[in-house]
Amino acid sequence: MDPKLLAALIMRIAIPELTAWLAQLHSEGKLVTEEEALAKLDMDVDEGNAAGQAFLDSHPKVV
Amino acid sequence: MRMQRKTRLVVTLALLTVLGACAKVTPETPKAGAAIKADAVVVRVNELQAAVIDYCGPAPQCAPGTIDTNTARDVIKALIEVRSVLKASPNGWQASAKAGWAVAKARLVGITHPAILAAVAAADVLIGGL
Repeated sequence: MDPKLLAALIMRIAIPELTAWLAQLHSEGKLVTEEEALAKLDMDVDEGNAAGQAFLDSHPKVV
Repeated sequence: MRMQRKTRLVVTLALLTVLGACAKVTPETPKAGAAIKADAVVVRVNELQAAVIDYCGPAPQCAPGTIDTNTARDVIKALIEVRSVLKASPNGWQASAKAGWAVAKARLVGITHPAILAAVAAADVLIGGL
């Protein structure tokens, strides 16, 4: 196939189609359940608190 | 002409990457929505904490010319408090989290480290703007 024709097809058809598909995905979004949302919250809180506590343990108060 | 095509391709690919990366999250219930919002704050708070810890440096005391060790400890304690409030009451955390955030922010006044300033600004948009 003529490389110029192939490039033109990609630019005019494939990329707009892909963009439209991704845009659709973007607007529809992922449905998140209560359990999933709370689990993610718990995980991030626990992770942050563990790092914070580790810092407090390793950096004692300066008197 | 060839260059213009390359530029268009790069711009298009960048756009696709952004669109793909920012897939919208839709909560199934209002409670899930509240937890998602609370988690967004936790993520920002964690980023700020990481910036403070990184700036401070290795134990047992913060490196000279960075942040005072006791100040860093106060900030970390306040951030732990904010996170704990968010976990305990993801539906009604605004007032309590705001109070804890005010403590952390006040202790960071005068710190000009770019990563910390950026993290404070990002967290402030979510918490301070409530």
